[in-house]
Amino acid sequence: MKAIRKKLIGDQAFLFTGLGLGFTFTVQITTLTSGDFADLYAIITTISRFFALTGSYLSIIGLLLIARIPWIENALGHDRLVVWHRKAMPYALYMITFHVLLVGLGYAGAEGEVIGYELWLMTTTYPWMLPAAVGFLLLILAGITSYKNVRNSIKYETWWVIHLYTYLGVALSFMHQILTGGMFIGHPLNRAYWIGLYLSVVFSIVTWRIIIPVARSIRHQLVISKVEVEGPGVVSIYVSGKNISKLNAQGGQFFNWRFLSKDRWHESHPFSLSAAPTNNELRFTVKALGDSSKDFVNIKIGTRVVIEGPYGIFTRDMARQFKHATLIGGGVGITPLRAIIDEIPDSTSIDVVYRARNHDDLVLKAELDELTQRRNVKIHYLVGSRVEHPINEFSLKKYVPRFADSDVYVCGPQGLIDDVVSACKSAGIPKDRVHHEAFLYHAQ
Amino acid sequence: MIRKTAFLITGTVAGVVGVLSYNPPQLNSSIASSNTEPLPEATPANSPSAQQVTPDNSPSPVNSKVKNASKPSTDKAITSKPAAEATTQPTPAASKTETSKTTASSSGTFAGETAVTRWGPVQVQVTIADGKITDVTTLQYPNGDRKSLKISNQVIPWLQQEVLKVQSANISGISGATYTSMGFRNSLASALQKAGL
Repeated sequence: MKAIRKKLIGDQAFLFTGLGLGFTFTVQITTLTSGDFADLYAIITTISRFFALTGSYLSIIGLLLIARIPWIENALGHDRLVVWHRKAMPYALYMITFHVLLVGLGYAGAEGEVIGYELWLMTTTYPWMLPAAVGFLLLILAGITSYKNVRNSIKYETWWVIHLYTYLGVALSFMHQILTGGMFIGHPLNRAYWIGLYLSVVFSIVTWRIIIPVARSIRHQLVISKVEVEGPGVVSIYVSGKNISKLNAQGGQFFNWRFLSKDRWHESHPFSLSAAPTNNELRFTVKALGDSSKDFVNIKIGTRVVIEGPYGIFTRDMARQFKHATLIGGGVGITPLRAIIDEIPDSTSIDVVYRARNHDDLVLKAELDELTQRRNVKIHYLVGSRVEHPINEFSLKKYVPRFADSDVYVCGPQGLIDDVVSACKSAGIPKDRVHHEAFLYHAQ
Repeated sequence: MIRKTAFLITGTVAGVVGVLSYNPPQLNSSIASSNTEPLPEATPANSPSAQQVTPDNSPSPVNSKVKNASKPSTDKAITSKPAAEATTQPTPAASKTETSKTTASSSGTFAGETAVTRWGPVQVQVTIADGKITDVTTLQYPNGDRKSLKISNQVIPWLQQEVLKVQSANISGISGATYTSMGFRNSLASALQKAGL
């Protein structure tokens, strides 16, 4: 039932996104005049408006994707939302860039100016154009720093702060749309729709990214209670607090963690729970991957913690039957699987396939080994390269005789997930029994 | 993914069709006649006094004019004029009754002040019969260079036609001819003021 309801909500989300896109098109269609096609430059200006509207709409959707709206998070899964955000936003940026260039060209042509000078004139003479130009530059900056090669060469924190400024960028560009856009001037309905769209984003972000996390952190009074070194560069951090079960967190989910110490309060990190939560304790396990995670060993006991979450639908609940469970983890991707094990009924037999590049990368190995003593869990360590240990239908069936009969959970790099998904497909495991979460967002 | 795309496209089509069936596109007109909201840039220009649209030949951008115009809008002689395109039209009923009062007095031909734009002067002349605008001619328009002339030729007839339809200075500007549109509006507003309309 739960799965069906989630599917329905997902479909609705897409339907509403489509409806909004349709409304956005009509904002322009209903206000077109013959003057908009009077000559080549008028047509260019008209096209530029199309890009402006569609690009802005796409950027609004992109913001909603990461606004942590609970029912959308639950229906579609956090990692997918982030992936879609990443896919959509470059196009939004391209379209807005086209808008800027084309509107400059259209006006320049119509008024006989050089395009650069015309852009300057537009920026300095039209209302709210200067803020819009600043906003555009902020968006471009966030776009550049999110580009793969640049992203990898700057600190996560730098990227994050620049990304934070995109909210300002979107806000700054809003007034010029309403005050100079031909499709809004004198069209109260269009204007109301557009303002409503932006307000819904503001509401979502303020509610679910600010108010709720802050309220939760205050209510549950979370502090760091224990730091355990698990291995080279790997630590488990225990966070204690009040009434944690009211968070309804489950193994397999993650939080964004912010530690209120002098040197860390300004940054937050997404880490999965590495054990099922109890009523007074949460645990996550970190491997030194990010810029700050390497010194988590030195974090002080008693540091206050602010959380956003729980997020993610990579949970035990997603399973349909549970005759058998196959959990496949790559590297640190084992941590949410470890937490899921806690929540799988004891009667279910479990096979864990754990791939890591070398022995030092086997996070939580001692704990997993201990589990094999206590319950019906078998662990298959695959240490080495992908070539040494390919993941496909045959290899998985070799390790896990009941593979075709199981619910499959996989967490790790995208490559591993793709391999497992195609292995499940060829083994005839239906899609709704394959659950995956890419580790691209976590622990980066 | 196919399923999701289907929902997305269905939504888009439903949105477009839904809105268009309620509010069909009017390609050949400008703005629906329900347009009661004046252009923000045009707001002050709707109550210009003679000082604002002086025919001085310094090529000052229209925007600076607009800023100046906001000051004398307190001028009683102007704001008390009944059918002026006041920024706040009290109620449709009120403006109607006031128009009918002046109907008898406003007939004839009135030339507006010359509005100087970045591309040249614009001057509009209106012919009024029984309080209705029956004809609009543009006495001066930007024609100094080939491009301006071309734009004027396209834009001016359209703006004139628009005035006849809307029966006020409350007409929409044309993108790509922003300055000409603004100048046209300013001059037209002053002409209508002279007519007491």
